[in-house]
Amino acid sequence: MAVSNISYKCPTCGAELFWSAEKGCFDCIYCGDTFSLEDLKAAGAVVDQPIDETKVEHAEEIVEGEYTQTTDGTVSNDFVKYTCSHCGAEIITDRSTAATICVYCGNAVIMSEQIIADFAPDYVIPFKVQKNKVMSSFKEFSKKPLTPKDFDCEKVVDKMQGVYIPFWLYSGKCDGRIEGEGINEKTWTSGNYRYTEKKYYDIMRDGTVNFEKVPVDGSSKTEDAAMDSIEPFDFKDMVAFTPAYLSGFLAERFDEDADKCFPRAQERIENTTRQELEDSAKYDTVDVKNYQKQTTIEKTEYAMFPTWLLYTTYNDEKFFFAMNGQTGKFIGNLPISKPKLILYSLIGGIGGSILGSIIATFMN
Amino acid sequence: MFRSLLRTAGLMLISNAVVFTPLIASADGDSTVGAVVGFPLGAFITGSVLVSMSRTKHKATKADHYVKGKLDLHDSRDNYLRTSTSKTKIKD
Repeated sequence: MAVSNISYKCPTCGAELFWSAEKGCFDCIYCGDTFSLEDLKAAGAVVDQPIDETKVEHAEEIVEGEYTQTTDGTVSNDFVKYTCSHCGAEIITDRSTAATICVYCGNAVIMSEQIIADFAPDYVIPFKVQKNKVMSSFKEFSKKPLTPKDFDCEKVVDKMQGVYIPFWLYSGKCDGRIEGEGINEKTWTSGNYRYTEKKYYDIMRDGTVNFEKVPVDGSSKTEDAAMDSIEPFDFKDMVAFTPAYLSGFLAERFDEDADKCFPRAQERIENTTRQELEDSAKYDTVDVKNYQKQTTIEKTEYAMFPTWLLYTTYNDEKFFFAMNGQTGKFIGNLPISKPKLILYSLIGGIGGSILGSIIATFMN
Repeated sequence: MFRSLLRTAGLMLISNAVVFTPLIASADGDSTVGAVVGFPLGAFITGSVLVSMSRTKHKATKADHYVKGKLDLHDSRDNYLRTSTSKTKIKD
């Protein structure tokens, strides 16, 4: 018999278990009991063995045009169909969805075929920020000087989802060599003149910088800049992957492989290496004429990191916000009130005029 | 986006010139010129800072957070080339 989608049952009452970000453990919403992963393993609710790949239930392909949207709210152009192991309902979802919640019975559904073999993550950082804190953080985040007055957080949020996003973690080193000019500058005043002396040096630095777990998201459905911006994640909370942590959240498996995502990590690694080499040259200014670099990746790992994603609409325009599900860092581009921008700019202009006239008078 | 920014900057410069050109013409001191130059600068800086506060999505360009250990420097060179000196008159 095929292994249906994974779910976890409360050892006390048999109801569905969800990961509680607030308590940092598994929570039964029916009997109120809480369990650590070790408790569940001891009770036999979680089996500490790899999923048998030969018995995994696979997604059912659907006829083109049969569905126009997913049932679980995931964004997709490529639908597949699963059957909820609790109520038997059809779950229409994206091909890369690894975990979801059945909209009919509310139970957590983990698609085992999306987390085995090549898709099996090495690590996961469990959620630490609970859902009821997301809205209060969003309200706090949206309090910016240019945010329109009628931007009501409660009203504009169309959808809020706790999603595990797939990340590639690159570890390795970068050998770099810079050549250029180092300049030291000295300024002094004598009589009616200000003197500036510049000493130029021909410089070279050659060195290696080691990197550990540089993250790059492996999902084409999330904006790269958004996922970059919610960094950093604190790796001290990162644990070996167990599907149980996905329970109660959505999860995506990667749809962009490590090779495809590598240039993004490489660019960051090489920029940092160049900066480290420049900083090692103790000059006032370093003018790099030539930079040679060679990045070597020694290990690539695959992890799932927690995020809260918010989709909003304001004045018929779509806005997307994301929150780091571990640290609570919020990012996104807020709408801007033009009248406020003009008003504040005018005030700034008047301030600039006053300051400009003071400086001009003083310089005379 | 870039065009809109150019349009706004152009409009600001034109408005500034229209408002302050008569002032410059009648100015008998540098303070008016300072005020004229200060206005667009102040407006632009204020606007840019406030807009950047509302825009927090940026592509990551560095990996500073993930550096393990310190830079292992294999080789270096520092050869003196030349010295240049310049002087600027600051008082009459």
